[in-house]
Amino acid sequence: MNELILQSHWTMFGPEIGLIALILIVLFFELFGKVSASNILRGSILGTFLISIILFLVWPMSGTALYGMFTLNPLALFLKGLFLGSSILTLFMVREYKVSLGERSSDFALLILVATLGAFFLASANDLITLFITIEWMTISLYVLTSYLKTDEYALEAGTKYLIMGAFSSAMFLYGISFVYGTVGGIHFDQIRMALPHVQQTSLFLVGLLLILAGIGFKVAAFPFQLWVPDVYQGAPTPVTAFLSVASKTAGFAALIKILFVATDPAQLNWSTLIAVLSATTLLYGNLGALGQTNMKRLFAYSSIGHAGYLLMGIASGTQMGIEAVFFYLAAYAISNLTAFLAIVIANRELGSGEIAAYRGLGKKSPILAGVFFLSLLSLGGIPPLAGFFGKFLVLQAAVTRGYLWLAILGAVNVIVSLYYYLSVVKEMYFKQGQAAERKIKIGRPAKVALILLAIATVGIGIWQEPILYLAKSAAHTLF
Amino acid sequence: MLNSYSLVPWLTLIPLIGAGTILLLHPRRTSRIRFVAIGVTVLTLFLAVFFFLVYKPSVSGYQFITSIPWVTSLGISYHVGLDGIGVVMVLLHAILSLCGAFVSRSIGQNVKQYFIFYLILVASIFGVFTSLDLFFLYFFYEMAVIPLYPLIGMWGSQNREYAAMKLTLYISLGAVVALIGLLSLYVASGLQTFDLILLSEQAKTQAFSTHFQLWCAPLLIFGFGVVASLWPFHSWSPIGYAAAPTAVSMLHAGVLKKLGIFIIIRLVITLLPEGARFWLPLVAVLCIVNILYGAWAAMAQKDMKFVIGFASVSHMGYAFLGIACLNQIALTGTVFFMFAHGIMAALCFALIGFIYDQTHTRMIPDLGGLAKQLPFITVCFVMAAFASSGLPGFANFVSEILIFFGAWERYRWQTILAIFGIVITATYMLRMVRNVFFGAPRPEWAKLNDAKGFFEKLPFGLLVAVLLLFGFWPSLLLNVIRPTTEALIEAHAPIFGKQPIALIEHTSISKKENR
Repeated sequence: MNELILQSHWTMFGPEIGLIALILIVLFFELFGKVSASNILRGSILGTFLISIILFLVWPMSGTALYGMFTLNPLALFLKGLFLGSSILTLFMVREYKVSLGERSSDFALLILVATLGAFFLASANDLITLFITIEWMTISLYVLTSYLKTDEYALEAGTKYLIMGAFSSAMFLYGISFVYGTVGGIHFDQIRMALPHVQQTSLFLVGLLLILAGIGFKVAAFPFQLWVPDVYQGAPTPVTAFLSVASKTAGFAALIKILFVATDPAQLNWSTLIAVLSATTLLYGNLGALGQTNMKRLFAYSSIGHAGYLLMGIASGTQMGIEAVFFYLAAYAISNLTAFLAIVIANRELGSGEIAAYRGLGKKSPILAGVFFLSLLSLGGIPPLAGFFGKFLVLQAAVTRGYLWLAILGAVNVIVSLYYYLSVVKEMYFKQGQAAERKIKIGRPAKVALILLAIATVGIGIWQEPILYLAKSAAHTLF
Repeated sequence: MLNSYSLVPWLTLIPLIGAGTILLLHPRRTSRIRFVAIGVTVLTLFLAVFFFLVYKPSVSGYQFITSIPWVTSLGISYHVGLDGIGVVMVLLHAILSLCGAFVSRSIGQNVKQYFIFYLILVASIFGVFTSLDLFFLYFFYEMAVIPLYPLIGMWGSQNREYAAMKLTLYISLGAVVALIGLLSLYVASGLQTFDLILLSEQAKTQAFSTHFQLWCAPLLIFGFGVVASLWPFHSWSPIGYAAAPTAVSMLHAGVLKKLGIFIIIRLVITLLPEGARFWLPLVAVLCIVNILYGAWAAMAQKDMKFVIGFASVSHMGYAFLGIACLNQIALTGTVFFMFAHGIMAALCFALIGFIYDQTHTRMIPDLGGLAKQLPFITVCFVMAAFASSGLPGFANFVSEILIFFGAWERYRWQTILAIFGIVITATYMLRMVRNVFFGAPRPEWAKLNDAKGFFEKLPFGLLVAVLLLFGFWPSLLLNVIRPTTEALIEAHAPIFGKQPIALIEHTSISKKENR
């Protein structure tokens, strides 16, 4: 281990230290301070903004620390940026959602911050154990969050399902690690990669890796490990659903990319056919399943499975271009999906129902809310000039370049399927006439500003792709 | 690549800025919103006429080029310019979008949203006609499809929800299939660029492999053929037009349908000549089904909009026949035809919209004897019917005759059937004119108002004037189109085979201009 650089410069941990400090402050005020829940929430949002400044300051840094367990490179920074962004927006959603949470919303915020901290370490994880622990760290916070509404039957069902499935997947993951450790004699990614020429024919090693991939499959909701998704997404409190569908999925893909491109080498160990098949089945399951849905969150659950299919398509291509595409897609998906969920949180609160039919006439009731929701739906559907379009474009391009023409055509056709169900929501909002007594929905100023800013960002990324693409490129570059 | 600037991007930017301005206006200020929309389309028409007049046919290649590197690592650049085909299509689109904005006065509710979507539609179509970069070509193409969904779904008439969804999904499906073709082109060229000029230069010197051309060409031909309502992908079209508000029917039948043909000319004939030679004969068979089936279906319709909708399906068959010939005469005819048919179809839809706004019916049996109350509208409609039936004196005649001359040698029996299609067209158009405008006046239509005043007459008068102008003076357009189509065909002359004898002595004209 001597050749590993021991550069434990504490500033490398800046974002994590900041987040820990924030968590402690929030905990302190919650226990001893006489501060209202909404102020604590406001404080945590402010705190996360400060952490984004820290993240910006450590941006030029790179290196490893803690005996190679912790790496800081453009990849880790890109992921941390995504996690932080989604946690800021989730906290904001809690603010909008808090009506039904009351004073307990500060605990809620605390748990989201803890999950984000886990995600931060995951982004820097450089060995199997750290990867496992950080995934668990995130997931355990999410177990609690999912069943946070103690009196809601659906939430409890969702929490139980998520717990059982999650525990099952963790066990598989851990079991897989034991096989890999047994054959390689180490858990560090570099060790596994170095031992690869000797062990890649060993069936035990391959079984271990397969089990690890299956464990991750649950996190990213890839077929055939996706069955828990609709119930959990529907039952969980909406901000948690948003966090699950963006941060947890991003974490899963980060882990997948680390296993396939850091711990092993796609040039020596080729999984791409398997991933391509998984991508195709995931695409079909998600998009076809979404067709008949009547509940908004359930629709989004299926559509998020569909998006996992597109992301797998980029990974299946196995090229630097494909991974760039995955990172861009993740960023575009994060912003579009979180925008959509912010709109859903507000709409469900005001309409008093999460059924798609309840959205009837929303275009009249609140033009801004409906307009931004419309935009985010189109972005998720992959329509130019919005962010989601360029993500899909890159993923399809990667698949065509790799020679997966059948997969690219399947992906292209699925764009149409997804367009159908996204446009059906639009139809409900705009084309159908609502009840006679139209009630205008009033939205608070912060929410209005956030919605408009998110809409501008969605259009902006779609038209001027270069900045995010540059970040995605530098992140992907560290892998090749 | 060097940056260069011209006025072409403003064709797209002005409508987008207009849409942004309307977004900031208060929804109640409808007259101001209309003013912005009309002002924007007037400006773009000025620009389009300017390009048309300044364009130099004798100079080969694209003109008014603007090139801004966009995503350099992928070889995407915002690269726009116009050739002889593009400049004509831009003019067509500019005329129709102005007329559409005028005709939209009948839109009463949600005026703000309507004009935002309308201007986005206008901007994206300009974007497609000017793009010289495959990425932006697709970008604007897909961007043009989506506004149609709310435009038809919110302001449409009968069966609007179904029609809007069907139209959007059909065209988008074609688009994404074509996208795979575009991406394959990018990969196969190995140039790491989406730039159309670079790709077409490579296609000239070192062609794509025949195998690649054979499987890539159908993706593009049928993918973009959907929007041009190639049989059997046409079924969205009559339903969509019947449901759409007038201005959208006008733009859709007039311009959007032409995007398909335009892109096939620009991509397949330019980049994949062998693929074109292999697949276009099949298109030449399908287009006959288009012509005859469309015409036959139009005969059976009672709704005026359905008649024109099926007629446009039928007429697009001529355009497909024209590109399938792969010779200069027919290709020139096709571009001319796209222009003439665009104006004519839009005129028909505008007139039907005018009648519908007052009578609230489009069923032919319910109407009759309208000529007495609506003399101006009747004259315009009769003109449109004549143009549609290919009567000499209208631009449509010139274009159809060119297509037939070009097609005669290669597709003899198709040409005969296509000419027969004209006879059917004349039958249903004249029958509709008779049943709607002539005959005994009905008491329920005694209080109809004819188009009065300059602004109400402007859209109809302008379109009729354009049809007559280019009908009597076709060389005005032909001289612009011909050098471009000639260069397109000549670039791959050995592949496209023997050329029929030139109909018009054009070589002397272009030589004169060269001096």
